[in-house]
Amino acid sequence: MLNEPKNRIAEKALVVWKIHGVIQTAVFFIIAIIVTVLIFLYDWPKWIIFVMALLLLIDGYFSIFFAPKLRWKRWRYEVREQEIELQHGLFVVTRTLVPMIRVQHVDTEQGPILKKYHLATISISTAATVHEIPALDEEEAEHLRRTISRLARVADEDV
Amino acid sequence: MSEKKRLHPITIVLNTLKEIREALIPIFVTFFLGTENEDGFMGSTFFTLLPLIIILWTIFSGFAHWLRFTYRIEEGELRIEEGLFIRKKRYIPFERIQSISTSEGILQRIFGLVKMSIETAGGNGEAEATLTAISKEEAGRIKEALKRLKENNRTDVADANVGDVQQLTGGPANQHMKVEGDVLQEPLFQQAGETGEVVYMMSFKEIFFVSVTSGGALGIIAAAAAFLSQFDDWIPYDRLFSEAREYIAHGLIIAFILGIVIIFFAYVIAIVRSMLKYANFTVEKAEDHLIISYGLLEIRRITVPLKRVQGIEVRENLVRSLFGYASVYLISAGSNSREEGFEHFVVCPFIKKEKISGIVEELFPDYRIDVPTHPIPRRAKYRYMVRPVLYLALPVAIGVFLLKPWGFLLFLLFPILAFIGYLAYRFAGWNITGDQLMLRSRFFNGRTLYTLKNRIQAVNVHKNWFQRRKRLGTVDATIMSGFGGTVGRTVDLDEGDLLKIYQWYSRTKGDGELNL
Repeated sequence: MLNEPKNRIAEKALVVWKIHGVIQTAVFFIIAIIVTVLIFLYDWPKWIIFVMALLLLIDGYFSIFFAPKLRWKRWRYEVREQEIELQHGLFVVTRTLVPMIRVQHVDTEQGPILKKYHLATISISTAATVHEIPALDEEEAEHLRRTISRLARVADEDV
Repeated sequence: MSEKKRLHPITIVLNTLKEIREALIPIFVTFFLGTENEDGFMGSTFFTLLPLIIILWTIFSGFAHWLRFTYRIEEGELRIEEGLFIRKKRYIPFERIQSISTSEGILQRIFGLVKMSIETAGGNGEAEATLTAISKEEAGRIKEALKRLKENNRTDVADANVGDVQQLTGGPANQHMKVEGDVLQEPLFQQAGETGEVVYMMSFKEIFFVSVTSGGALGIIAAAAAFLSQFDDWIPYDRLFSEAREYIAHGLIIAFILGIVIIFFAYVIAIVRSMLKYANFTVEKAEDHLIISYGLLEIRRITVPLKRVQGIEVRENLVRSLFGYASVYLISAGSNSREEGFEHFVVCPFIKKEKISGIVEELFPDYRIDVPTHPIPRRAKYRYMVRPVLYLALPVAIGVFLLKPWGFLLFLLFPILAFIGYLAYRFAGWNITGDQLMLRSRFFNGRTLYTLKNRIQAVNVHKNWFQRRKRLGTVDATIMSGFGGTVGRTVDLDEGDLLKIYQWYSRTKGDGELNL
């Protein structure tokens, strides 16, 4: 079991995350434009523009190319009879165990972008924590939700 | 008991006092404005009258709130109606009531009354309903009525609970909720005169010592240090003329002495307050719950069902641990005491470390307190020492920059921080004994969390880039407590130890590596 959890999330997640990255970069870009206009209007130091451009470039590369790819590569999950195992993280890689017996309920969620790509996010709640698996195929998410629900209901205290 | 009832009239006084306390700052502000603005545009009369108006208003409002507040028990619900301009009706179904607790303030004690707090599942902090002052007999009657009604439809109630929670989460029917018996279905009715076997009591000496070393009192000392340091920074001696300097210097000395006197008194008051609060601290064990009671003027009684306890935490504050003392807290699901920011129940505020295991293991036979600590590997020592330095590097840099040249003294903080880090390194560790997990960590205060496998909601292990290079990792175990959870965490464990904890928690046994 201790080798990495078996399943990866949908490959289309990459596209969705890239779109998120583009939106984020666009927002920063608009802010940068506004600041640039202000700089010219009020005669603030011009070097700020270059710094902003550089930051924008770095952020764009990071949030559109670097982060989605690495995040996708890291994301793994596995649902077993007794527990759910997750692994994710960009710089800090986290592995999580959630016993079935602790699962209180499971939700699926779908934002507009996820919907367009037929993806859904699953969130698993215990009495104290919430765990998300982002961007699964719609059918896969639905199937998983049912499976976890069923397994959680039959799970008995084993201790 | 279906007729509408009012609270005891003393509630008017209690309401008024509460509102005055809230209005204290505006009253002071307007009062001082009134004395300074002699010929201001509003005139002084308005400003001196304003406090009076506010006080009259609070009395009126206290009275009106009392008049408009009614409660009754009807159709299996506790129905409360209140509100002056906006009428608020709150109907609480019995099956949602988690616990009822009573406490007595000074005024309540004089008139032989109690304050009753009613808590429901899923409440997020505040008590769902508070009956500020009712007679003890009335309190008994309410408890009886609830108990009777609950016993009548116990089976219905269990079903209703599940339904309720589903409704709360708004999930479709196939999303089930697992309701643990000890969380929702066992409401607690605390009997006023109920007693059990006394398991722990604090002596006068201990209460005194806990008060002297409490955070509040130490906070005042810290404030004193801050106060004294103000003098050097803000008074520009050199720019003042010599005559004025002498005059100011006198003023300063007087202010200085006055400051010290004030701080001393504040410290004494803090000690006295804390002593009054913890006086008669007693822990009793009745069949399936603990009763913690303390206080001299205001008696607090907290009932904790043993089944709901999720973990035990031993806290060692820097000063107390020097003398070999620590505090023991219970972490309970749906805790109903949030007084003074206590997220958890304190069972032993002040106890010799050697004695903890005796008391705790008697109350909770599943726990083992005196277990050896597996230490943090030596290669993590450097990380432990650097971490607190990094946390404060930016504030110190800013301080040095702003407070030149004395700001350079702030650099002295670094060795102190590194030493604190070293202490944390020595303290931290873990242990697994049977089904019990122990996690130790420290920043200023040492924290040792004991919990059981079947109480842990989820376990996380993680590594960042630097940890990976040194084959170290962090473990988090989350348990349920009140709203949200409590996380036990130990940083920079050896990779192998991390794997052991992970495997211990996993229901699927197997070999391999974590591959983080």
